[in-house]
Amino acid sequence: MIISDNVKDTATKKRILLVDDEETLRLSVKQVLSEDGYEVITAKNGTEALGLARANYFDLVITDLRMPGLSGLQLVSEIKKTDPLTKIIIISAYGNMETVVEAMRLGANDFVAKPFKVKSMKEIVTKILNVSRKKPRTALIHSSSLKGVTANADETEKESDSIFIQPNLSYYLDHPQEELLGIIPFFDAVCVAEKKFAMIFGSMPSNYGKAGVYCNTSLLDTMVKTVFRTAVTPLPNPPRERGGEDETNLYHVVDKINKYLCFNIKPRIPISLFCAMIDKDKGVIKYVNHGQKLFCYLLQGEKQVHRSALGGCFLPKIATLESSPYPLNLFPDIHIEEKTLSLTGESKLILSSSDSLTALPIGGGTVKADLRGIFLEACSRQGVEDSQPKAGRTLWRGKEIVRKIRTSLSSAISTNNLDSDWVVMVVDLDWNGIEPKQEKIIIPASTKDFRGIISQIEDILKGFTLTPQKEHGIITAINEAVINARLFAYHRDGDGKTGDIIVMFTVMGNELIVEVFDSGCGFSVQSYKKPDFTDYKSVTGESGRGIFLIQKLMDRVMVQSSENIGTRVYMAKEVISNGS
Amino acid sequence: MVVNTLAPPAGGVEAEAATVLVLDGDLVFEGVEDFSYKLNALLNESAKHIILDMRSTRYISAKAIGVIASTVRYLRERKKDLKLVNVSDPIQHLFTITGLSRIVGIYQDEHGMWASLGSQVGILEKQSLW
Repeated sequence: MIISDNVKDTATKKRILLVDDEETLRLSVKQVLSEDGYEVITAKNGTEALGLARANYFDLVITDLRMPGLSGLQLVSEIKKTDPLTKIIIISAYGNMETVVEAMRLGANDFVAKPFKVKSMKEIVTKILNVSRKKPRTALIHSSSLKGVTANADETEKESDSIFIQPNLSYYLDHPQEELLGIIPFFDAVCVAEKKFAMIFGSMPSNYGKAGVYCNTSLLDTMVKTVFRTAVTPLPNPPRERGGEDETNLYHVVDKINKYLCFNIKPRIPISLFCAMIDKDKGVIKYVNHGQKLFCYLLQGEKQVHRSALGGCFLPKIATLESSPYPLNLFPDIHIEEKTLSLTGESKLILSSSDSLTALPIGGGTVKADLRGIFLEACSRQGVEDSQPKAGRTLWRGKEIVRKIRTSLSSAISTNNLDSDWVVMVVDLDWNGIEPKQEKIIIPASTKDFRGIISQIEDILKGFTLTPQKEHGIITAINEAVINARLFAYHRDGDGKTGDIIVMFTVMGNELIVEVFDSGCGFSVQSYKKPDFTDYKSVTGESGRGIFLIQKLMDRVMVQSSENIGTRVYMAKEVISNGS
Repeated sequence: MVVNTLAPPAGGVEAEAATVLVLDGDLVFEGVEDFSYKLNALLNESAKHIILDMRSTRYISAKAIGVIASTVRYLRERKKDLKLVNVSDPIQHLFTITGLSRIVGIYQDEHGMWASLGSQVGILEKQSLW
């Protein structure tokens, strides 16, 4: 029986088994997930993990694939035999696609490619553990290569009214019912570089093929994502190409996905896929759009003058993203054409997938033609959107479009059956609106002007509506991190060299993130003993008081240190920006 | 360093000294060393009570809180005590979350602090740090 650090909450906490032979990874992921309220047990190899999994219940197992002894694949297989309901996320190295897919076939639910950001892992864990078990969905997909996949194993979650914000990307996804009857949509995004990300949006039919033959549709979904992510994820040490530029060719990405599906999925389930590479620096979007089910538009921030008898008025420009009618997963060598469009200040992607809408006429035209008009009308209310808080505009825009679609359809068609098989997604490409605001304070190691430093921090915090106690807590936490940097992180072995301390303030949504980092000697995480006290009086005169105070004052805290590189203290606190 | 001897409170019977150390700034960076040094000096004096007046202290570090806690423990072992007065609400919050408020007498103003000392104190000695 495992005794957790916080036994009293064991009954309510989700239990996670984290398996990796890298101690640094285990420590950092455990800390972050523990802060989110999960009970995390770690194991350093597959054998140890299997012993723990057989003796204890876990909601989720996160495991590396490549480990000494019992491999990740063997572990996935054994855990699924022990408890088929245990969710599994696998961690794989770049380029390990075949193994990832094999793990998916064995029952893993999702994967993360190394190297990964801890935040990405958190998002996937949240998604996996929050998936409802109540409404399993089956899909009629047959594949000889999918033998052994449990019927009804696929599970889906309600994403209506959801908004997700990642650095450089926010989107709104809505479909009218928890269960889409005709299509299964999927979405994924990868941050390729600081101002560049790749995304896919697509759908597959849920009732294709012969009745009575089932397949785990999340496997298909995951296969597409696996190939996509491995194809666009930058190499740790990218080869120097002409001019030193590392361009990801979308043709190769989509071609790779198509070929992989063709060779691994039988029979041919048509998959509609929109794949885009969005480059802020160059102000362009490159895209590939295949399949009849997807209607993709680019709303451009520039407005054009619409002349009428009453004079001119401004309308948004909306470009239809050309599509090839040929879906993927039918033939391995189809011609894939890459298109390019320029982006403007407040561009948005409007993506829609529909099964039944495609075939039915509305008002003498086709739905496809009418959707463009619906989007255009929904987007023309720029003045109304401008009155919305900037952070909520994607959500507002998405809801406005969905409302417009519902209104148009209900007025044009007597039956309401159409209201079940479409999905709309609005992706905000307005980096100016969603790019994190950052401020930086540089503290020279030799400074004596500490009052001046506190004044600078106070000035930055004037941008938020804070209670005196909250502001005081944030400043105190920063002070502790700076003290740590000055006292401990700066002493390199004997050379006496010191550098500046950087205090970085970043606003992400309603969270203020403060990073305090240095270029000092750092320390080994293996020798770092996290303070386990709960009362200050027990540690008088001991180390660890500063981090204790920081943890009490901030919502989330993480310390990252590398020998001879330095130490970073990350702290986050929920705040309300006052716009200044 | 300024030392002020205050009049004994009304009703004082025993003449046991209390030293009021007036902190004239924050206890975050360089202030902590001076604070620790001064407290150590006071430990060897005859005063039965050390009173920290924090009216001018806006920020305090974990290390300074540790120094206070250490001093309290040292004084208690010698039948003496330390009290805090004029503590701001945010700092009071830090004392609460660190547990210091459970072991140290903390007072919003001098009246409450003096009342807690009662008739034990005959002479108050006030010193200003910085």
